[in-house]
Amino acid sequence: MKHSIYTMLLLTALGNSSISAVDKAEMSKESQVVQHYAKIVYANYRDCVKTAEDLQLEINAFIANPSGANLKKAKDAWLVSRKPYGQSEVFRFYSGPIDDENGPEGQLNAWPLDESYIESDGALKGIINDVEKFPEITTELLKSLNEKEGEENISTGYHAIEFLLWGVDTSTTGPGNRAVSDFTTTKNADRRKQYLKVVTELLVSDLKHLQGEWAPAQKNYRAEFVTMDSKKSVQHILNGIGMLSGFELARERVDVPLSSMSQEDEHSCFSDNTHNDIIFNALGVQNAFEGHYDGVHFDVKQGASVKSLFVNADELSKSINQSVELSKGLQAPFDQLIIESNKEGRASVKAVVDSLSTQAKQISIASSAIGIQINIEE
Amino acid sequence: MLNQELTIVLFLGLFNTASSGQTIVPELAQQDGKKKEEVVNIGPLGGDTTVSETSRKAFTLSNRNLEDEHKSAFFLGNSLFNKNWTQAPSSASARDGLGPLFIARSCSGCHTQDGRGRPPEEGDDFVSLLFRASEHDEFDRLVPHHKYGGQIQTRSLSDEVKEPKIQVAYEEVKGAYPDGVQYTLQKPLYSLEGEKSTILSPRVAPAVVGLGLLEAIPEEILLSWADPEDKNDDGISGRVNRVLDVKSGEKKIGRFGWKSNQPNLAQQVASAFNGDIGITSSLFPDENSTAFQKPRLMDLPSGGDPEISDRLIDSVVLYCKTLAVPAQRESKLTDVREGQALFTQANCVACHKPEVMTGDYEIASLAQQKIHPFTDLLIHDMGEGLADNRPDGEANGREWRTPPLWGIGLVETVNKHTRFLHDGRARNIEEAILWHGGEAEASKNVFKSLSRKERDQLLVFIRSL
Repeated sequence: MKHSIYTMLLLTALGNSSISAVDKAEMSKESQVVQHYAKIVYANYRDCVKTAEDLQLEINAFIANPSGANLKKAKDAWLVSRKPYGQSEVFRFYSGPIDDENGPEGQLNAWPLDESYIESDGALKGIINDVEKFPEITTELLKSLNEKEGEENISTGYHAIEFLLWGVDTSTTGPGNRAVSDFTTTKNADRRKQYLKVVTELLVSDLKHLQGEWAPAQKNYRAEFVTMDSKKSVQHILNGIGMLSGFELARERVDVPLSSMSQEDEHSCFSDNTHNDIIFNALGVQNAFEGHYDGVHFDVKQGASVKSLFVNADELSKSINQSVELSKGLQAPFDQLIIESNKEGRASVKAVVDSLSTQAKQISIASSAIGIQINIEE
Repeated sequence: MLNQELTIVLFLGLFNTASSGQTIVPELAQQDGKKKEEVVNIGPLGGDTTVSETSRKAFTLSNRNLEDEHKSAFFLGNSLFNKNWTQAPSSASARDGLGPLFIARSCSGCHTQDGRGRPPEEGDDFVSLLFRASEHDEFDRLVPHHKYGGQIQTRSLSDEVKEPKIQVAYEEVKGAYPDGVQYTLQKPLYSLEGEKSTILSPRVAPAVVGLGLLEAIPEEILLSWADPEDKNDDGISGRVNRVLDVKSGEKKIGRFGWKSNQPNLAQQVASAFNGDIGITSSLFPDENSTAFQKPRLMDLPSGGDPEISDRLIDSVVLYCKTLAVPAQRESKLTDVREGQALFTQANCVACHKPEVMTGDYEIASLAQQKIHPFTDLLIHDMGEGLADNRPDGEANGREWRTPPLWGIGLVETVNKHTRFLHDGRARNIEEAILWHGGEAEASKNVFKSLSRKERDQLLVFIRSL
């Protein structure tokens, strides 16, 4: 295996006879960066799997014995599981295992979630209460219903679990406060438990799939990623960094709720965890750029970094760090920061948007400068 | 000028040969210098707005030259386009007011990934293919259906007003190329369950890219392309459709919709919100229910007056104006270039206009752009095979608007299908061409008379767009 990788690298180098000596040196540097990035991805996904398994243990304990204390433990485990996942989102946006044609991204983290799709008991019944249409709640059923006929028809993933644990947030000071009785005496309580159980199983299995695709020394995506033209791999990495900074975080997750002034547009609206989602996404960009990972269960020490490829690396580092710091400065809950009367709160959110947007623009320009074109949103 | 007319006549001569069954060899025409139109050098399809993206997100990116000042609105619009509307009252107050009658719960429910809809799989409901409905009144005038209105909504919040189901049967239409290769087209026959006299007009959700550029094409250019009396005698008599501009109350030139029945994007978007999702706006303040339905829906609360505010709907309109057109792929391949020459030679370019300049526009980055939309935005008689026999504005039941072709080759990647034409009856681009009739009959026959290799080249060219 190792042998063939070297052969391929050699062939890649030989394939383009016009490459100057300097370019060859650069390429080996790029290839080191790619190798080190793959290590970070793997550690990050291992962390996702481990924290999701912890979550599953707590959820199963809660289902077996629905009590306020057990619900709290499950919620705490969910909050921890969001730390590695938020950081892993920088590995999206280049059709890698997370979001290639069959990638589980939409199944894992689709949001905002229309709660009525899962739980309504009105004219349009949600999945839990539509006993007639969906007699049995299985992972296969939930998979088939996810994002069916609308990007907000979400039946699976972190936010479906979040909704089942917290319920709708109607409080101005704290998160949703679902009653334990929803899992004991309320109509269709057993179906709600079954839903929670299978939706968590699916989450763990999807994350394991990602971990498997990035595990070392196997016939998987990582093997392809580290052997393909390293310029292409670096382009992938920068697409992830740029798109998460600009399109996904700056715009979808922060600017949209800021302009709509609407709680339903915040990322983790049931648990009031949106401010942490923002921080972990911003940190994910920093990890990928600086070349390290400091996780819940797994770490990767500083190594060959994406940063080292850029001439104006320090300027980019500074912007990325500024976004992280501004995110950390947001005063939770996020849903109160964006309301029209909260001028100060809105200004703090706007500062995060501007910083991330600038960062995305800088990354796009800096990438062009080293000969790598990325299509991102700023 | 005289010279040009002469070549047109000569070219028509070729058509006659083709329709009398002989095989023509287009290269000959080229050698004789009888080419009608020059082959346009295709630059970035949407000018400076163009994005080089070939992945599933190819239709979802903003214009590459979009001004910073419009970005917040673009992303707000994107979010409103994608997210579901809910039944009022709801905790989601900015997006409640769904229905009472509706087809989908979000724009993206039909324009998935800002792309194109399709007919349903067998057994599934119609979603991204909707139906306009009319009937004859006592004076034999065509009017909206007395119970269900001008459009069938497949879903409802109340069992009191369920609209009937659309039924579809398929008829096979067999044909053959002059070289003997046979083909079978599939003709859908629609009817409204229990309402046989209703006239239905199917309309599939089109992709949303490049619409601001189309709006920015000056009216004078559309009028200069129109040739209602076919004065140039090329068999093609494109017309502008003149339709009601709701805001001004005046008739304006239509540009959007399958029959150019909407004069601008603001009205197109507001009308779709109203007709397809059941959302009222300042432009369409009344729910989409009829006098027959209204009393049966009294108990259902509204989601506000109007249900979508001007600020929010304006952002969706801006979004629809500024979704970037993806760049042409593999434009340097020989087959693509040959295919383009054949496309030009078959005079497909008479309606699928390969190049135009946009004029002044409210969004500066869309103004004065050289674009390659492959449409004239005019309505054309497309023959009996495609006719829905339901007039719309000044368009008659045989007329359809030339749809733009940019992005067509990426539909398969973005939307995982290759269903084309106004109701998605064509299962690929080749079938779509074979359905062309009426004013496009001659061009279709040129296509049919090409060799298999040439037909493939022409298709490769279209797929490169």
